[in-house]
Amino acid sequence: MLTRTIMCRSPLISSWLFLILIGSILPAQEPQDCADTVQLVDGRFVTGRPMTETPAGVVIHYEHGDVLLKKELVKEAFTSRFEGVEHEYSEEEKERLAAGEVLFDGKWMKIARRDSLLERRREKQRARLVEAQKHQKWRDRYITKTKNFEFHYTIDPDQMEKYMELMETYYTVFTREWRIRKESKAERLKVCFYHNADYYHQVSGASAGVIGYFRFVPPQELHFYYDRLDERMTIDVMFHETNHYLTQLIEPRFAYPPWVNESLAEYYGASTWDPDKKKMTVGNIQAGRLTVIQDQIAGNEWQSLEGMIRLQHGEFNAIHYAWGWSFVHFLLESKQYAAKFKKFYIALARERSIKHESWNFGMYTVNADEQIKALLAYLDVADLKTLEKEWHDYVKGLEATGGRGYSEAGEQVLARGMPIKAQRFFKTAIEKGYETPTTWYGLGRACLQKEKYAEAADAFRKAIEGDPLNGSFYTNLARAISGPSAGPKEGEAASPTEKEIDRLRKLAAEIDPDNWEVMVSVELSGGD
Amino acid sequence: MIITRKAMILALVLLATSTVATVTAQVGYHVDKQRGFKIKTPGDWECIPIDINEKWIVAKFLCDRSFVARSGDFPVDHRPMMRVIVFPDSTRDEKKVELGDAGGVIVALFGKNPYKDYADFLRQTRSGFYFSKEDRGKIGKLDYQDLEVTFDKDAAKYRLVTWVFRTQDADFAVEFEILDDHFDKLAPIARKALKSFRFITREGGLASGTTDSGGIKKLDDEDLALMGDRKKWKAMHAADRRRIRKEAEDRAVQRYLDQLPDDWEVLDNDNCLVISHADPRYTAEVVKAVNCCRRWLDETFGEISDEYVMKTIVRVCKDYAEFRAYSMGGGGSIRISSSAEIDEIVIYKDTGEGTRGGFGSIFQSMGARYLHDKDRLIAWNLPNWFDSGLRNALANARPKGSKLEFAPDVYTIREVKIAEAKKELFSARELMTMDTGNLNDRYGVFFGESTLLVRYILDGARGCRPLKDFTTRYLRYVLEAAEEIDGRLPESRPAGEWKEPDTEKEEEEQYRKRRTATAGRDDELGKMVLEKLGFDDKDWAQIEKGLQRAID
Repeated sequence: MLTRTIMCRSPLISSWLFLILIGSILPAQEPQDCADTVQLVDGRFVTGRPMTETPAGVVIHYEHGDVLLKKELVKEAFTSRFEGVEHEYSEEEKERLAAGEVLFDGKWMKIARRDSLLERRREKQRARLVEAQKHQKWRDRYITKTKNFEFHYTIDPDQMEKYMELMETYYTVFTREWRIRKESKAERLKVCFYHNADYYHQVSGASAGVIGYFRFVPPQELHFYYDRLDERMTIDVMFHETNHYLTQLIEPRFAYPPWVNESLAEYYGASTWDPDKKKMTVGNIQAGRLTVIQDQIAGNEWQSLEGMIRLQHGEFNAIHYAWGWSFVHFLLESKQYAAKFKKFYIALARERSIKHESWNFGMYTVNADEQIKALLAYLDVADLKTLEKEWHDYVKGLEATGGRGYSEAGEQVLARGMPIKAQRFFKTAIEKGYETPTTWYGLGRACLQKEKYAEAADAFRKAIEGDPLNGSFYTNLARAISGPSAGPKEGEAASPTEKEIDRLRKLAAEIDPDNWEVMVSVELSGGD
Repeated sequence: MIITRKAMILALVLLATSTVATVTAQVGYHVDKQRGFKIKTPGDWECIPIDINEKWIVAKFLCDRSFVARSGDFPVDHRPMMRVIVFPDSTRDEKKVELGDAGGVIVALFGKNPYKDYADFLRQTRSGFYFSKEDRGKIGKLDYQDLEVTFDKDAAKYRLVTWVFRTQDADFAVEFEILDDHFDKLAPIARKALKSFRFITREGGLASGTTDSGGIKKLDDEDLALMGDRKKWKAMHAADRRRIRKEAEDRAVQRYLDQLPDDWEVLDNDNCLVISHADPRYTAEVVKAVNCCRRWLDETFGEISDEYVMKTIVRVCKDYAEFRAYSMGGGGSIRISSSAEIDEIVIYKDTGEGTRGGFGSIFQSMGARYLHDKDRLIAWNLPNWFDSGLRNALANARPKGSKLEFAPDVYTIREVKIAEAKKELFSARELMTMDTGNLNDRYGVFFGESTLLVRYILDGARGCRPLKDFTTRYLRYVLEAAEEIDGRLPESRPAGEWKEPDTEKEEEEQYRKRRTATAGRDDELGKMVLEKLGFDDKDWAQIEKGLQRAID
C-alpha cells in the first residue's frame, strides 16, 4: 500500500496531511528531473534531481546514493514522488475506498477531485519556489523599510523578519544607553543582506576576508551576509557593523581612531538577543578572539596599550581586533571604568577641549597623543602603564564560556596542530548543547588526525545529519572509514568497505561539485 | 642587440606562410577564422593584444575616445571596451584539479577549468556587480542570451552589455563595458555591433594563447621538477643549469614574439625584450632604463651565485586605458612557483607620473626577480630591513646616463625626521636584527630608516669601512643562515626524531617549541648573519654614524 503525504508551507514544517489509499493507487510518477525542487530553511535550493517526499523529510536521489533532508531542514518542496506509512482501515473506510473515494485533507472525495486539488497546490508550491529563487537575484531583491533602516535582501522574508527586529531593537538599546540621537534630516540607513557569502562578495565587491562592512561616506550602506553554517557569526557581524553606524551618529563628521572604533564594535558584536523576552545582552565573551589572545600570551607577546592606541587606519589587524576587544571588555565590565569610558568615547568626537585635526573625506579625527591625554583624564588614571597592567591582569582571568565558545576555541587549536586539545573543546561544546554540523565536523577532523577512525566516522555522520549537502563531510567520512588502508591492490576487487568509500567520494562530488576540497579528495583517490 | 619592428615582421613572414591565418581583414569586421566568428566592431576601435597566457579572451577592442563619469565620488575617465570570450564545452569536461609533483611535494593545481560559463567567469574575475537584465533574443536563426550587468560599487557606475551566442561546442560571449552616465548614447552602438555577430566556418581550435610554441611546460616535466627542488637543482652542473634556464627564457620570448600585434614595436637585447605601443622616444627611454638597472644589478648582486638570471620582459601600453584593457584577463593559466616563470612587467606611459608610469615599478620587479633567480632562498629569507629598503630604494631610483641614481623619497625622509625629533629612531643594529611582526605602530619609522640605510650602502657607504662592499657578503651569509635554520626545523629532522604527542600537555609543549622556532625567525636569522659578519664595537660605532649620515 502506498500513502502520499502533503507538506504545508510554513516557516518550519509543522503539520503533515496524510492521504491513505487502498486498492486504487495512483501510479508512481516518473521522476521529473527538472521540476523537482527543494528549498531549505537556510535558503539554499536544490533542483534538477529526482526527489521523494517522505514522513521523515525529502530524499534527494543522486546517482551515487540517496540523501535525506530531514523535515526540520526543509522549508518547501516540490517533488514527483511520495512515500508514506501503512494504516489499518475501519469497515466504513474500506467501503468508501471500494466506492472509488479517497481521504484527502480530512475529507472523503472522488479521486479526480483530489487530483485536481493536489495539482493546484503543487502549482502554488512551484510558484512559491520559483518566486523565492527569483528574489535571490539582486535586481529582484526584497526591499523593506522599518523605522530606522531600509533593508535590501535576498534571504527568505520569514527569516529576515527576525533580523529586522533585531536591528531595530539594537538601535533603540544602543542609542538609549549612549544617549545618541540621529540628526533629524538623516535618512534611513540602507542595509544590504545577502543569502550567502559568495553572493555577498559578488554584489558588494568586498574582498576575501571582509565578512561585513559599513560604508561611512555617502551613500552610507551596511553590507553583510547570512552564514547558514554559523548563524551566530551572522548576528555577530550584524552587531559589529551596525555599531559603526550607531557610533557615527555621535558625530557624523568624526572618524574614530581604529583601536577604539573596532574594539567597541567587537564588544557589541558578542551581544545576544532573546526573541521571546525581546532582550539584548551585552558583554559576552568573544571566544574566538579570546583564543587568539591566549595564543599570543603563550608566546609571551603582550600587546602594549600605547602601541595599540598609536595604530593608524590600515594597521589594525586581526590580532589587534582581539586585544582591542579585550581592552574594551575590561573597561565596560568594570564598575570603576564603564561610565567613564563611555564619556571618553563621546568626548573624543564632541569635546572642544580635545584638539582635533582634519582627516579624509571632509572629516576630522584626533591624534594619538590627544587620545592618550583624554583617556587618562576621563578614566582618572595616572599613566598608561598602570592601566595596561590592570587590563593584562584582567585578560589572564578570561575564559571561554558557552558551547559556541568552546567550538570556536576547538577550531583555533586544531588549526594550530593540537588535535588532542581540540577534541576536548569540541566535546565540551557538544556537552553544552552546541551540536552544530561544524562542531561535529571539527571533532571528526580532530579524531582523524589522531587516527581514531571509528570516532571520527561517527562524528562525520552526525555532521551529515545536520547538513546533508556539504560535500566535505562525505569525503572526510570516506577517509575515516578507509582508516589506514590504501585501497584495493591492483588486480584485486574492491571490498564492500572500499566500494562504500568510493561511493561516498563520488556522492560528495555530485552534491558539492564546486567544493575544492572535494575535488582534491576525489583526485587523490584516483576517482573521476 | 636591438631588433626593429620591420626586421621582426620580415622574420615572421617566413614563419607565417605555413600557419593558418587567424584573423583576417574584412572591412570594418573583426574576422577570426580559427575560431569561426566575425563581428563588426564599432567605428575606429583599437585592437588590444591578448596576454600570451590568456586562455579565454580571444579579442579585445578599445574605443578611440574617452568618456567622463561625473555621477560618482569623483570624475572618472573611461574608454568603452569590447571583449570576446570563448567557453569551449570540452574544457568544462576536463578536470578542475590536477595533482603534480614538485620536488617530492604533491601540489594541487586549481584553475585549469575555472569557468562553467560567462556568469561564472564574471563571478571569478570581477566583483561588485549583479545581473540587472537576463533575457533571450534572436538574430535570424541565431539565438543569444541578452545580459546586462551593473557595477555600482566602483568610483564610477558602469554596465556591461553582453550577448552570449551558442555554437555546437562552445559559448561565445561578446561583452561591451560602458559608463552608466553614457549608457543611453553608447548602448545602441554596442547593440548594433552585437547584431553583426555571425558564426563562420571554423578552421582551427578554440583555445586562446600560443599553446603551440612551447612556453612553460607542464608540472611533471623533469626540468621543472628539478627547478622546483632546490637541492637537486644545485647539485647540477652550472652549465646545465644555465642551459635549462636559457631554454626556458627562449621559449617564453618566442611566445611573446608569436603574439606580436601589428602596430606594436619590439626591441630585443641580452637584457630585455620590450614590446611597446608607446611612442618611440618613450620606448627608447624604457629600454635604456632596463639596461641601466640590469647593469647595476649585475654589478651589485652578480657575485652572489653562479646562476643565470633571465632577461626582463616589459610591455609598454600607450596609456592607462590600454593598460587596463590589456591587464583585465580571464586567467586560466597554471602558474608554477619556481624558477620556470618569466612574467612580463606591464606599464603604461603615464603623463601624470603615477607609479606604473615611472620606472620604479620596473626596477622593483627586476630587483625581486634578480635575487630570486640568483637563489630563491635568498629572496625568501631576505631580512626585512634589507628587503624593504632595497625595494623602496629601487622604486625611487632613476637612470642617470648609464648609472642608476637613488633619488630621495620625500615621504620616507619626513617619517624619519619626525621620529628623529621625537628621539624614536632605531639603531642600525636594531634595524638589522629585529623581528618586525609586532612593529605595526612603528613600522613607518623602521621602513624609512631601512630605506636610508640601504641606499647609503648601495651608494658606497662613504666613510663607513664595515659597510663597504657589504652587499654580496651579507646576502651570502643570509643564505648560509637560512640553510642552517631550515635544517633545524622539526619537519626537516630525520624520521623517528619527531614524537607524536599522546597528551594535551605534550601537544602544547610541541606547539610552543614550533612556534618559538618560527616566531622569532627574522630575529634569529638577523643575529646569525651579524655574527657571521663579525662586527665589533668599533665597527658598530662607525655603522651608527653611517646611518646618521644617511639620515642627515
